[in-house]
Amino acid sequence: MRAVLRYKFATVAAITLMIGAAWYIDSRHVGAENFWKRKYYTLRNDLSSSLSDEWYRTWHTRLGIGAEGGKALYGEFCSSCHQPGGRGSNLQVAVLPRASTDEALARIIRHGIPSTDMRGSALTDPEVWQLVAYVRKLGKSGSRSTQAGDPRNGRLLVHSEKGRCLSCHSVRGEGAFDGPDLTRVGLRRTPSYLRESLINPSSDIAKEYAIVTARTANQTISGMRLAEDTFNVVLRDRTGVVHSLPKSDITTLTEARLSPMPTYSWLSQKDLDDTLAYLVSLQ
Amino acid sequence: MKPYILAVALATLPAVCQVTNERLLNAVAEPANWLTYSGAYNSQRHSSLAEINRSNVSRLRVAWIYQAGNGQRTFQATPLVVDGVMYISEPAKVSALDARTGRPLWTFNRPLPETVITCCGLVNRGVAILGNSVFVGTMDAHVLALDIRTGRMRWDTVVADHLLGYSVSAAPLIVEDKVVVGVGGGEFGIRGFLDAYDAATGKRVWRTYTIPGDGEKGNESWSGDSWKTGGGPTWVTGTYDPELKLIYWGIGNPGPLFTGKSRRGDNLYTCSLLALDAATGKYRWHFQFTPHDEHDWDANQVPILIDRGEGEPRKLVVTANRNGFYYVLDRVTGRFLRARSFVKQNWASEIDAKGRPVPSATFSPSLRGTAIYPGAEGGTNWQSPTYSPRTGTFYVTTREEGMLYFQRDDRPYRPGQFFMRGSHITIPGEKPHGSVLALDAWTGEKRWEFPLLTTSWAGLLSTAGDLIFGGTGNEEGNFFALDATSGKPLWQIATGGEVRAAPITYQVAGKQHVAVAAGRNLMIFSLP
Repeated sequence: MRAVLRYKFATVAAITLMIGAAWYIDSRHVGAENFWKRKYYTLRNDLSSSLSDEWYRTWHTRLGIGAEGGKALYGEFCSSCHQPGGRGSNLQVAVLPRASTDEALARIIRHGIPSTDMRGSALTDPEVWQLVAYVRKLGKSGSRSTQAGDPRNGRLLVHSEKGRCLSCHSVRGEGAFDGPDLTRVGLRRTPSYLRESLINPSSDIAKEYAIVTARTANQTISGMRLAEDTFNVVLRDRTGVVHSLPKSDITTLTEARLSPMPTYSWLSQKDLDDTLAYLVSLQ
Repeated sequence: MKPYILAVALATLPAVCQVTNERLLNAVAEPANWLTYSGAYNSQRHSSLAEINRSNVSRLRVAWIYQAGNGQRTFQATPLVVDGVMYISEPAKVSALDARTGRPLWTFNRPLPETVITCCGLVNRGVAILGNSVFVGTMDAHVLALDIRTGRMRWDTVVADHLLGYSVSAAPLIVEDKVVVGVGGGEFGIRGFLDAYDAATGKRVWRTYTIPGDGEKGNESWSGDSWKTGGGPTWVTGTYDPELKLIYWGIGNPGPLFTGKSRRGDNLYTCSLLALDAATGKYRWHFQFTPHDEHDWDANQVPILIDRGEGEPRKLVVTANRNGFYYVLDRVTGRFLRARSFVKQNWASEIDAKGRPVPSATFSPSLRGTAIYPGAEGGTNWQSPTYSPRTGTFYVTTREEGMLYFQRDDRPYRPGQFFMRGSHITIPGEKPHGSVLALDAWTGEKRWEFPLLTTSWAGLLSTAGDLIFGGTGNEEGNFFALDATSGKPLWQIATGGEVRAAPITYQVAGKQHVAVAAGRNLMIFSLP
């Protein structure tokens, strides 16, 4: 009897160890440089050829098992943009506006978002679902309250004569359109990106808001670039007038390296925190 | 002959042959028509029509528009024009249109099966014509013959199993009494080949694999069994030299695409130009542009035949390759004569005297990503180049774009599934763009460059009006004319859709017309 129990224990221990080892290697992911890793991946791929997308989805997201592997993938493929300070959208939010469901998120990871910097990937099915699991975990970890500061005071600053933000930006239809709309900026940008933008606005200028100057034989026009192709450029100047110019008439076309936005480094630490708290709350 | 008399003649004499081999051989001499994908067997895509020229092109205007059916993102076909009738293909459809007004004369529809395996959407790039038949390939890897007068199907031959990833998007090439057909599927671990079918019956006359089999010469350039899933597709229409009786065809990438560890060796005849005997399909010579490619640098470009050289003209075949180099080869022997880079490249430190590249430190993709120029779409791609015998210049739409190439080890071959083992992204912070580039056809030296704001997939056309017609890409959608000698833009129109096809020109009712597919429209232009 005892021998049988010991045998059973050994079997259970061995299986547990194997699963643990597999889990560990899976979480380390990617490289597959050494022999055992390669063996493991070969085995997993042979297994995976008989598995469906749905299976991976269940395994990695519903059971939350893929997040560790997803973290490594995230570091490799996503973090250059979706990092603190990167211009990728803030993923540490409860609801991603373009990916409210896991399927939608998986679709974006696979195919990207047209007309944005977000590109598709050539990740395998299990990798996609590992990433989905990790991004969901990020969403749970972040919360609005992590940004220190008083958003009510921040709102006053942004909307008042002190900040004058709405002379260029807009929030829920209020303000101007010479800078990016801030209505949902807390979703689109990370808090550290927003902080950097307030202190050093030229560190990253959204392409469509850069000031472009076109010189022709008899005039000089500066404004935002509304459209451009090989033969034409369309600018909107500060007064809102739209200028459509054939490039054959343009002698020089230059894009300002400095943002038209002034720095807010003169704000007190408290005001800066409050402003950020307000911007982050704009979701 | 008036068209209606011709119609009556055809109705009463079914044996009348519309497009004979003689006409195809002398296509250059009848510029009113556009008889083959690249205009003539030399594939120069040059027309001797000159009614539209540098002095009046600014007055060019739309003559008519044909709208493609639903179900395709962009129209990519080159139309053919025979005696006042235009033949145009879409992925599941072929139409005959009155070339003067655009009125449809007949339409052939063929639904595609539910599962079609393609890398890049549903695409058809054109038809071929011989006698009274129109030949077209399909995305489920069939080749069909249609009656040129009614659009009724004459025969339907299966080229390959489309569930393994094979497809036929390229226009077939007529060689004597045969229909030569290339296949796509390089992303799916196919074993590529070129086929020739009897134009009358649809029976296969020969098949030449682009990857030599067990025991054949060249097979030793593949480690183990890797040749069985080695790729080597033939998805862009080739060229034929009727004097030498040789077919020149560009061969695509090896599989898996981005990690070459499992296929050590040069991987012949991927990323090569292959010269085959027209009658038998037998191998004559090859030239490999990129041995052991790991970048998706298919040699699926249209090779152009020119007779040039220092002193005595030599029989040459020239091509701007996806790997970023322009090549001049002897088309009799395949001997390498010269190469010169035409876009930024960092993968080869030099091309040696035999034409073999010396790889640089940044040749291979890596786990963390290697920045390689040009990118996976190449310094150019399938977009047709053109050669003007009037200027001795080779014109090509280029792409300036580097990519971070990633290697992955972990995906085994599975029939009909992507067999990539890697991926790529545009180098962060860089903005891909392009140009129309004019190269001295013999030296490869740049004569002029017309910069394009973004990358373009538009092919080119040169005419005796000393014009180069071209187009811009997805974010722009202009169709334009440049001065062939200076590159100066002379005319352009916003088409409202990406130009992802090559323009042609023809004459109907005494007037020169220019046709190009843009977005979902086929647009035809003429002078008022």
